[in-house]
Amino acid sequence: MTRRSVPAMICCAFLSAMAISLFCISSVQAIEQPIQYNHYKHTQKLEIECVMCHQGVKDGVRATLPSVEICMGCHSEPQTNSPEEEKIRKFASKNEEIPWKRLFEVPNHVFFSHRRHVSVAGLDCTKCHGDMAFRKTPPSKAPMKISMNACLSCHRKLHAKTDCVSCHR
Amino acid sequence: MKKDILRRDFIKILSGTTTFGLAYRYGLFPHLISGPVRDALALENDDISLRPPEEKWETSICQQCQGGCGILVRVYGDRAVKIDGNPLHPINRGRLCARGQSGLQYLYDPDRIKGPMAREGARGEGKWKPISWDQALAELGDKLKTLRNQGKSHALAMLTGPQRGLAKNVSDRFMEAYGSPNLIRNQSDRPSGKTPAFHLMQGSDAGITYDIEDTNYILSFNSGLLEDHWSSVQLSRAYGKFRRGNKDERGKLVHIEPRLSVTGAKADQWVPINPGTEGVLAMGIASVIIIERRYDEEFIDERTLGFEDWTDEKGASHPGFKTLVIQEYPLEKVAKVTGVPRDMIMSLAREFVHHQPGVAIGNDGEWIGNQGIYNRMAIHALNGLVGNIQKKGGILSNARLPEIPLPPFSPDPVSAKGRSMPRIDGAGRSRYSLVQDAPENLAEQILKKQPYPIEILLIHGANPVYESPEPDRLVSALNQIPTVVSFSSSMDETTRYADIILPDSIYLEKWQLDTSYTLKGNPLVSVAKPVVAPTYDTRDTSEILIALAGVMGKPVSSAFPSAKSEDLVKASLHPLHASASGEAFGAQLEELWTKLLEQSGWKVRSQEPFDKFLADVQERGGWWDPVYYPWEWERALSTPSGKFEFYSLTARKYFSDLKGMDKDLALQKIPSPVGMDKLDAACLPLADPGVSKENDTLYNLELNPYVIPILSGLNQTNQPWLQDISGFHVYQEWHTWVEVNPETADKIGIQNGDWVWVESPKGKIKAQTRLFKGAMPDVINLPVGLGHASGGRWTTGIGENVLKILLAEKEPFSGKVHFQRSRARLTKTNA
Amino acid sequence: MAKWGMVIDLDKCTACQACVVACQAENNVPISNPETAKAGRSIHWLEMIPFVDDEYPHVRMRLLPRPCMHCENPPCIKVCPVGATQISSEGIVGQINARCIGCRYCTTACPYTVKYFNWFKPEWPKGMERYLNPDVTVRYNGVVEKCTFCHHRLQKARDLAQYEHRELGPDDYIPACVQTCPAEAMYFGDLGNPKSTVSILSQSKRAFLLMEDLGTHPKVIYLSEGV
Repeated sequence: MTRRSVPAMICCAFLSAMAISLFCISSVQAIEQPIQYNHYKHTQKLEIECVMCHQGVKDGVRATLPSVEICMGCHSEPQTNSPEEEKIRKFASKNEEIPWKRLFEVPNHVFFSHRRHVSVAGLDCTKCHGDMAFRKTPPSKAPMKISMNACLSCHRKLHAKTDCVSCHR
Repeated sequence: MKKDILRRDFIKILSGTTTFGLAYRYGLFPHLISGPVRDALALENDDISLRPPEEKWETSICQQCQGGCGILVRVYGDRAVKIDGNPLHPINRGRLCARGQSGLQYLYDPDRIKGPMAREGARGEGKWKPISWDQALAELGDKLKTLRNQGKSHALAMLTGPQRGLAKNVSDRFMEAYGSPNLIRNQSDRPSGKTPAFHLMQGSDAGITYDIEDTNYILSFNSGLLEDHWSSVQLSRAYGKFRRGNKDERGKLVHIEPRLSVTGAKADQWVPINPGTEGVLAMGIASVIIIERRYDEEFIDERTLGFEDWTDEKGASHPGFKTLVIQEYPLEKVAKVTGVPRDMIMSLAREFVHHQPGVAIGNDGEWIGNQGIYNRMAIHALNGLVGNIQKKGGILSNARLPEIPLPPFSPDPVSAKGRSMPRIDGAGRSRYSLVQDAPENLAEQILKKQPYPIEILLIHGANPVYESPEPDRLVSALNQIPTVVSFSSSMDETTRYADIILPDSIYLEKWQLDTSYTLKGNPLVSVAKPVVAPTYDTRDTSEILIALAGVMGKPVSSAFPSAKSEDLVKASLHPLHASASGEAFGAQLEELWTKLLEQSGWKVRSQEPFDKFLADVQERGGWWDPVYYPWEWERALSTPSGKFEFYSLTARKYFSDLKGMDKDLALQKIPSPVGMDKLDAACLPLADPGVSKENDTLYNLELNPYVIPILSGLNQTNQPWLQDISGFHVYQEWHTWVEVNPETADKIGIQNGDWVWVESPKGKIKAQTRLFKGAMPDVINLPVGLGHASGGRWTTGIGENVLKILLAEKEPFSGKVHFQRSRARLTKTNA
Repeated sequence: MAKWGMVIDLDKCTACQACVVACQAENNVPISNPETAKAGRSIHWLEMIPFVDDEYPHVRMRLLPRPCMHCENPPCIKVCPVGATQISSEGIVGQINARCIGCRYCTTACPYTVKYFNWFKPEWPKGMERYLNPDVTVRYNGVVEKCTFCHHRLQKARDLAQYEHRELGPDDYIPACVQTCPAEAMYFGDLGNPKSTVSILSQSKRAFLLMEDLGTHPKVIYLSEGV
């Protein structure tokens, strides 16, 4: 009897160990950006469009994070006294890109086209990116979670395709 | 009891798995999914977040074989991720074969030689140390300079593979400037259609081609048409049109071969034939055509020589083709020798004549099997009989290639002296007077140190140690040479015996200029720039040679106006631009338009500026001349008589010019038919089945070697995509198999999958038995192309080198080594 | 709505296997080696299959390029416990690898044996991973994969067409195998459009389907050899 239950116990132990380890991995780590960027100031106060810095949103399959070159377009001369702003010029002088961290990411097995959602379907950025444009400091995690459920509920509402293969690859 | 435990445990584990599966299904373990997937795809260099990698399609030229296809390479950031055909390129029109597709595995082969290396330890020991390019070039340049200063510039030899365009021009120029006659090209005849048989019967210096697209009937004599053609993509395109083009008649294909090959399978009729007797069958078909007077009398009267018996200018009479056919190839004899029934021979002959324009095609590869030059002539004679020369749907001769030379230069006296020395391989003299290169003689001459010893050997694009019938002898010849340099990009069998390796870049990494022909005989020049930066520390061999010339200083260095291939490619295009003929590749509609304009005399050559021409040609992939005039007979029939020669005057001159021993040797193996002078016989298509000992009890089987289609023509075979599908028709990959007829296998007592020794009088190799109903009884088929001793993880030790057990003979005229079929036996063994 | 389908003219096909390799290059199919091949575990989404009939000397060998048939009534989707394989509204039978649990029911259910299980972790020697197609995910061990009619090409083509405010043209979307076919023996297009090349060819008297009697309704149509 005891001999028989040994494999079962091993099995259980293995599974619970696995569950715990997975739980540990899945606790999200806070993301810290290299510069304390103020979205609110740029998009609301200065009324700069998102796409000015996040190029490719309207015309590309992929949207991008701003390269240092884009930032330097305005910030090559100091606009404020902020030490954060100074960091941009420091990166530029070293010929380095600003190591922005991505908050929004779809898995690689998903084909997502920004231009199709923004230019063709005319969706607002907030649909997926939440209140990002109103943030005064960089959030430590994505303000909205990208999930297949979210995708699908919107696709159903708007009668867009829900075939697996129209997005998965 | 024990069983019980196992079952219960199984159920428990199963329920565990199910729980896990359900959890998985409801997305509880997302990390399991995205982790490995993302790691594998997000390559270091793909900086996706800041700017998505730029994606473009760049034009280039495929160099996996000699086909000359134009390609488009999808470049994503800095990496090549897909190769497809260039839709504008007249050879392949957007299509590409398996080998072309597999170019990515050639480019990113992890076993490529990654930088220049010098030998450590003994030759062939495999110990190497990396050196810098500067050091390698300086050392080698120094040696070359010393040799030249000693007045021994002729002691430099260079062995290359088939070369065209820029690579050819640069090696020619290098050897000319240095002062050595010994540029020995392992020149395959096929890309240019310069098979010796054509040379003897038609002259046609630019080579000939079959107009497959517009023909009605193909009589294929073991031609490897769909498997081993020199330009398989354009052949396939033409074949598709031959079958289902916009013609009234669907083309018919009859294939004659001992083995049911792919061509045989695709043919309307497969005619099994005793190995090596295809030439005899051709003569049998000719006899039917002649006896039934179905030949093209007009063509034969006007444009052929030696059909009937004839008298030369000195009044001596010579037998003609007709006499030979009637006397030597009576139908009963042919049927007996070939194993093809008499009725079938007759119906083949009648069909062939009836379905004109049709073509008779032999094996233009000519290095394997038993289709020697006379058998090949016999097959080609059928084309003369039906008069399909220079006709739509028949045999076309290639139009002349335009000149694309390097800018002129004048060699110094040292060079002139060196170049005046006889060639080490003997090409162009006595027995080898008809050929420009005779690489087969190299081992022999180097060992004999005749006519002089070789001090430095450069090897580029050739792997003679693998292909040689006597590899050991070749290796000892290499060991006689003080300095052996290899430009190979992979550690092939020959490179192992080098002292210095200066690895070449892959075609996708360098500037290229290439010449080729369409199957309609139009000449073309393809141009390509590098599509990716060199993956490893390699250099374009052309640029290495120029750099070596540079190290040697003047006057050798002045042979090249620039150190860059790019400049040379551009300079070579000036004469093409100045000729104002042809045009940059265009869509098929443009092609039709040009033809229409030119043929109606309306085409006005606008002299566009060179820069525009260059930009056009580069963007579209090259230049060609779409207009072809079939009535240019002096080019099509450039024999001494200006006619299609059933009796070859070229052959007669060749034999007559030979003296003493050479003559005896050359004529020795040629049978002399009764009442016929031996010299006369040697000028006619004297098809001969070769030696076969049917009563041989020790070696009771006939061994029929064939080339693996998917690997044919490759520079290197370390490409798993191709290795994995090499023997799909018998469900075998990654090892040498032997195809055996089920009845024969039964007789010997072996079964499908059994490991056997295949033994010929020369040696034995191990192979796995594959029962194949498409094999003739008592004939076993062995695939050639595997069994490399080195070269990379997907080729080293994969299968056996079949050439090791094949007997090799040197062909008359060309001296080319020709691997013969042989007798063999099978014995069962363990894996 | 388009119904994507393929026509393969066996009379033009030269069995050169360009389609086989083009498919592997396009779709990041794991590379094989002697051990994998010996165990019968090499993956070929498109495979050249020989059929040898009759006895010598009247032997016939037919060589059939076999992609997924993209059946209108696919047996594989009925057995999938997790919905990882489904048929789209345009008739493409897809395999969502991220969803697959590797039970291999579908590999058993498919009468055409077009489904392949990843027995090993797909790996590329260092440097070789550079040729991987960024448009296609690399699978991992323990999931099933199959021919998708290169539907990632459809995704891209449609995205571009919509962005440019035009209809998807007949040449905008073709799979890698059809694009490369040297003999121009493969055709691809919308079987729902009676004027498309594939529709016209599928009406040919040479047209036949593989194992039609199973009721799978394949959307890959072969044209037989001969007149």
